[in-house]
Amino acid sequence: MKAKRIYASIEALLLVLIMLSWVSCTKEEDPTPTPVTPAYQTTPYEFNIPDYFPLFQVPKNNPTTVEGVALGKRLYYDPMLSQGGPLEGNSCSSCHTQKGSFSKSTPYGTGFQVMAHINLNYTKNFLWDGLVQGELEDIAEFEVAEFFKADVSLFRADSTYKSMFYKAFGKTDFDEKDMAYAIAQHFRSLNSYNSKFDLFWDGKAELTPLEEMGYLIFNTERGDCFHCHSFPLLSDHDFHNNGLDSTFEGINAGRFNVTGNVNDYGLFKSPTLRNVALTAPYMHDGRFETLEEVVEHYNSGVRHSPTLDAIMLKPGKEYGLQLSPMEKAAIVAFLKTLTDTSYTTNPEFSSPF
Amino acid sequence: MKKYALLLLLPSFIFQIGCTKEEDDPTPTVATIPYFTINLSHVVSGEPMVFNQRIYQTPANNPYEVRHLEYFISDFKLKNQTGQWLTVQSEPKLIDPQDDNIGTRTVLLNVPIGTYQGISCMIGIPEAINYTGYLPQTVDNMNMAWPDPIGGGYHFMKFEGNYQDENLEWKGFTVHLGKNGNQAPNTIKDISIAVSATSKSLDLVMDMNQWFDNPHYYDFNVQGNYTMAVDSLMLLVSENGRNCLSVKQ
Ligand code: HEC
Ligand code: HEC
Repeated sequence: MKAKRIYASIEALLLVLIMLSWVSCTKEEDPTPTPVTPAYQTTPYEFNIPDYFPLFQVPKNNPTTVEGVALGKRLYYDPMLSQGGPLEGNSCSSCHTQKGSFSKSTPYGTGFQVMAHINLNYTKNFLWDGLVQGELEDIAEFEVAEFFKADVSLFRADSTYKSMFYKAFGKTDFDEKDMAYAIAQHFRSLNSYNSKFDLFWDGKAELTPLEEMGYLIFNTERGDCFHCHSFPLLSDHDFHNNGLDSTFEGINAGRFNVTGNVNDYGLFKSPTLRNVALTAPYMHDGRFETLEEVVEHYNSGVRHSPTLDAIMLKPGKEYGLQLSPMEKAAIVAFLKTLTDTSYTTNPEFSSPF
Repeated sequence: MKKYALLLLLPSFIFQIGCTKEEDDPTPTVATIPYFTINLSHVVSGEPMVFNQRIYQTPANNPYEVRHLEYFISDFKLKNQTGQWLTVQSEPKLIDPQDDNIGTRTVLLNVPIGTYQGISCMIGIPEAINYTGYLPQTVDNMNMAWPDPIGGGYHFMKFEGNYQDENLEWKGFTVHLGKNGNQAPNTIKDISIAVSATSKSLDLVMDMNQWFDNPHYYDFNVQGNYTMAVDSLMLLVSENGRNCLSVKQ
């Protein structure tokens, strides 16, 4: 899914270069053009993503700027976004709370568990069942325009927003799309890479023997978690049936509800396991309260159905992993090394109000 | 990294072309075409492969369906008229028929114009570069990572689906390959491949059933339905896979 964008950016680069070479050859004939002073000046936002993370790609039409991120964060925390709409009184942060890695322990009315906001720039599949696919701009627009039904006129009448939109995008006649672009920029700034596991991965910390045992079970065919919760994001962002149900009704039908394809019964997006110790309860409907229960699911609770992922059906382990109590504890210990409290306490990501 | 270096060189290159094209270029070079496209398609015993349809049989008569397929193809060589194998420029390319953004094609760069009598390539990644972090760190490449605790590098192939076992019960299978020694080189000889300004692509066909036969008869009920990190099974499958490709006529 990334490939297309790489090519697009290479193509764009080539175009620029060709233009440059043309300029370089013809500039003698050209009278010196008057430099165009930009009407507004943005500051590029600096990312410090570690080199073991995937390439961090930003769409050309929405570069990340300090001004855009600040605006996006304000919108994210502002209940005005829901004023007059079906979620009146809420801001994004009402359900996506920082201390829970931007998730929340109580499910939303549809029965879906609130999803964390963390390292979202790497995915193209959004929501548990992938209802929205595309860029962060697309999911942000969905949230602003369809979920919140935000009233843009309130923001256009607000002098703070007028000035912030001008600083970020050079305009005051902004619409839902511009609001979504700002929120997308805020999402791009929400990156987490300071867990104990990251320090270990970077050779700067050691795991305890139990954590290390869990890491090995997770990352080998013993536990075989890595195929879906792949490193370093701890998600492959793809859809799988991990054996929660054998019949599929309501939201449990998962991706089927989006595609209508029977092969998609019970498939859900693999959630990231970063900060998973802070995002209880677990699974799309929050059916498990603790990580121990989750591990017990993989150990002995896997339900069979035609769409069950083949990885869940290793020979001899058709009915679960058959781990010892020690091995189960080791997986939980390992999952807890994925906690990054510098992320959940970072004032840069906190409410501006 | 190498790619970025190349990109940095590009501007000067283009400037040069842009500014000096009137002057004569004194060094004659072999005529090449910049891109030669290899298109992959997939069949099961000759029939076009469709996903999620329980309509196939392995050579061992295991009924099955394919739910997912992803693999790397790399290391292309062309055999010229004097019988020499010519290495052509190409990077390992991920193939995924279910994801249009990854796609089912790869390109060979700067291929000398001519008529060739053979082509070879590999399912997998050559040993010298099969280490964690070699490939551009796209999410898709990284999802093919072969975990470091079991050797590092990349999965060469993920071929997954369901099969009906001897008790007529449907079960999953995951034919995963990785780890050096389990690459599946394919060599196709005695054909004629034209490379010219008007012949810029070649269609290769992978027959999925080849992974289950020749030289090793592979029965899910006997050998097993899960090859990941099982050295003996990965070897059987990868040796079978050495005959999986053919040129589409
Ligand atoms: C009333 C609670 C609630 C509010 C308010 C809320 N969300 Fe959510 N959010 C959820 C739930 C529940 C899900 C999962 C829903 C699903 O999968 O269908 C979710 C999922 C998401 C996701 C998908 C994450 C992923 O990994 O796929 C994004 C992005 C998101 N919300 C952004 C926002 C934005 C932006 C706002 C404000 C405009 C917002 N949310 C306000 C409850 C809420
Ligand atoms: C076949 C793919 C697959 C494998 C293998 C897999 N998971 Fe999952 N995992 C998922 C999916 C999909 C979900 C979400 C399912 C849902 O909500 O319906 C999930 C959810 C979870 C959650 C809950 C996260 C949350 O935020 O709710 C945890 C924890 C988890 N998995 C841990 C593991 C562990 C530990 C292993 C190995 C023992 C493992 N997984 C193996 C696909 C997989």
